Amino acid sequence: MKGNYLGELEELVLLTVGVLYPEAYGVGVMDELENQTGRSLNISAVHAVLTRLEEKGYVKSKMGDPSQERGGRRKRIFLLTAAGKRALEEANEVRNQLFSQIPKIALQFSY
Amino acid sequence: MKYKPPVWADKFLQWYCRADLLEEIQGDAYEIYYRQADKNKLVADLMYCWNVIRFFRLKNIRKIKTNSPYVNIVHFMIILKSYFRSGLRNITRHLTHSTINIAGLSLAIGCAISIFLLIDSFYSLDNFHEKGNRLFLLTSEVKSGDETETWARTPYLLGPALQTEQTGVESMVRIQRISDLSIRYNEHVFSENVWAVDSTFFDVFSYPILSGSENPLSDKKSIVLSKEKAIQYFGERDAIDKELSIKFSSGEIIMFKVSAVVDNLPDKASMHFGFLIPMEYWEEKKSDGIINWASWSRSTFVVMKEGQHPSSFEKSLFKYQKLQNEANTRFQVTDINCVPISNMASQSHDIVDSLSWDLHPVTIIAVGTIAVFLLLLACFNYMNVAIASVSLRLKEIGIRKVIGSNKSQVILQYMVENFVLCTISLLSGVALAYLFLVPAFNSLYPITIPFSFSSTSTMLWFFGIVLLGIALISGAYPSLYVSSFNAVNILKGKEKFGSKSLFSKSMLGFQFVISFTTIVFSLLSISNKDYFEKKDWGYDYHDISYFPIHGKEQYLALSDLLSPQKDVIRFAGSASHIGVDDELTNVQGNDINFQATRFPIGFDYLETMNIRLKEGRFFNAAAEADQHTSVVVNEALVKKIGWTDPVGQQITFHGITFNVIGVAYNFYYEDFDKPLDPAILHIEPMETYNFFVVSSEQGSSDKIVKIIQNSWSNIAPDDPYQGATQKEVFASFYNSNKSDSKIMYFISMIALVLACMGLFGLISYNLSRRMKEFSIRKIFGANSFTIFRLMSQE
Repeated sequence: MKGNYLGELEELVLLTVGVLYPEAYGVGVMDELENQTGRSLNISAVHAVLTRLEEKGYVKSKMGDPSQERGGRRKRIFLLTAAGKRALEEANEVRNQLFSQIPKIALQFSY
Repeated sequence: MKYKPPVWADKFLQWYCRADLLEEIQGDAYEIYYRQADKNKLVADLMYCWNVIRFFRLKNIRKIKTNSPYVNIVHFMIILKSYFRSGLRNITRHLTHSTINIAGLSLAIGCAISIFLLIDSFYSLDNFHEKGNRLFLLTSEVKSGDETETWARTPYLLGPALQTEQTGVESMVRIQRISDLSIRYNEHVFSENVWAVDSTFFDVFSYPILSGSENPLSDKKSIVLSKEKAIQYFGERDAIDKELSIKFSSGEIIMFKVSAVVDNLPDKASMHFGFLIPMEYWEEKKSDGIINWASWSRSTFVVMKEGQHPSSFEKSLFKYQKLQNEANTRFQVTDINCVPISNMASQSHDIVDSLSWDLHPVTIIAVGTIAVFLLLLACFNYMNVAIASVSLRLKEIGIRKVIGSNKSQVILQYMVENFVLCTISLLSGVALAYLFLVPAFNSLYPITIPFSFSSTSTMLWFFGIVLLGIALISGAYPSLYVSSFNAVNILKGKEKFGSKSLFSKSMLGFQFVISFTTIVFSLLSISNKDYFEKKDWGYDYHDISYFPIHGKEQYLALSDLLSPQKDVIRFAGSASHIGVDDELTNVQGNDINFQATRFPIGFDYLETMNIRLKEGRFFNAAAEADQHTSVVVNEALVKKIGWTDPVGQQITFHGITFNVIGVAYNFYYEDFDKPLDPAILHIEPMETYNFFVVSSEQGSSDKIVKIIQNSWSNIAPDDPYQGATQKEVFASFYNSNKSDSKIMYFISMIALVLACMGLFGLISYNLSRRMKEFSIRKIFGANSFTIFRLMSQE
């Protein structure tokens, strides 16, 4: 478990990569994260997380098409891998499992 | 796109970023930039820069190419670091040997530093004068008899003539030195040397005035004191406006008022003075009272105007020479030269009567050579020990070579180790020089060496050269020697240590030769000192004391004082005194003309001085003739003339014929090294007495000195008390070469210590090499004596 432990930010980025399929790349992920969660990240931080995820095998990348707005440079497109999908499912499962075990009484707020 | 991100930030990104990551990173950065630039260009620029900096992460940085020069330097630094470490470990592992090596090297370096400081300070003397580059000492080439000498004396009228007649001369100052004047302040009376100077003195020289008037010699009654003299006379009190009285040789007493106290800069100036008075007094007190072109000035200095050189008036000097030569036919001035003041100290040895402190150039060369010699000795010591220590490190070198060190790396390793050792030695050498050697030199030499260099660049050059020189000389051969071993042979144990090359053998031999030379040298200098103390003076000096006086009244007063003392055996007055004061006179006897030393004395003087009579008799106060026409001579004079029966013979001097009444055994009155010259002793009247001589019971001369000292102010209030025991006359002979011989003694002791250290280091290494052999011998029953014998055989 510890070896492929997914950090909170890593999980968010991984999810966003899935959301943006098939056009997930650095700036896109950054913008999407800001829109959806309100977290403003620096582009270099997003890159660092994406590189880490790729090293762990949760995403794979390929070079996209050049575009005008990038000064004619290509994007690196990130795609979820099977391992990435499993990691997300596991994380989801653990969370749901834990959430479901919270006693009802603990969630009844009368105060 | 109409906007472009800052060029330098973009360049920086391209420079550091990995090639495979550059495209996406730069692309993302551009995308953000363009988006922002439409809204606000400045914010976009700043953000771009910020992003470029944030992308500067280890993962994004391009890998350094392995063949780039940076890598070689980095590798080299790592290797150096390793060598430094192994060097330090080696030093700490063989702590005894390293301590000996370092101690020897630092001692030699300390000596070299002190000697360099001495030489450096000597050559930078007199550099402090503000007008120094325009300031010249005039010297004259004087022909006297057949010889031509360079004199610091120049015609007295030359200076003023140059100043008024030559347009290039800005100002000039003349100095006359008047010796042995009695200067008195209340009860303090001392005999002093005084300089009479022109009022331009402080205009020409830049001796700092510590207190008092800025133009202190303007008033005729003024006197300027050096800091030391002010303390001597007035202690901590303010000296300004205090009155001093000076008794001139004529007996006249004049009052002076202190107008300034001056620092005479003992470290920086070569000319030191105690007192300055206006030149008028010299003119007035001159014995014949005549000032003309035949008169001499002891020293004349001229300051040229800005941009002028003395060559501008050199041609017209002939005119002044002619005036002088006509007025003074005895000494013919053939040439007048100008010496820049910065060269004065180094040339003053060749200038007769220079006022500047001089150090013979030979002394400079000698001490310089000694410094180099000591450094070499220390280097050889170290070199030999390093070669001897190789046997303990053969395996290390073998393994290094097997692992892949090449020859130059082993050399480098040894040189670095050596450098570490030399640096430690240099640092401790500086400490040694500062704490011990420079103070020791200062106590031996008449000047003080400041612990500072004339300039920072001199210091850096000196330390750089010393460090590199020592490191190279001591390290070059051992490192070459070590690196030439064959690795395989070392590890197989085939490399036999001990089959030394001719070079290392001769190094060893050289070290032994130097060591034993220094040992012999130091023993000699010790025995030389003993020689002076055991030398027979020709008379028993032990219980004699003498007191310089002036004339009959003081003599009679002292006789009244001493007559009741029962420790006094005898006393006498005299116009001269053996070992202190005498003069050369032309003597004629038996048709031979020669020079003899003349002692005008009083009755009882010879008896008081314990002079030994060979034949005839000494003077008798009752005999009328003894007062005028009798003379006692020494053996040397009898030998010179060749008399077989000297008593009753006649000699002539000062135009009077004297009868020889007695012959004294030879006695020393001058240097012990010189052969004894003929001497004549005759009676002169009480009025001319300059000395009062007392011989007393054994061991009581100190008591007599004390009695006279206590009542001195009643007997001669205007004269300084200068009494001394006759033994101190010996000290003055000895002092003349004392500082030199002491320095030699000191240096030879250091050389001796170095030599011993070298030998000790060598032997202890040999011992550690043969430790196994000795251990086995001991197991089989060898005692310490056998091992001692085996060691000494080597």
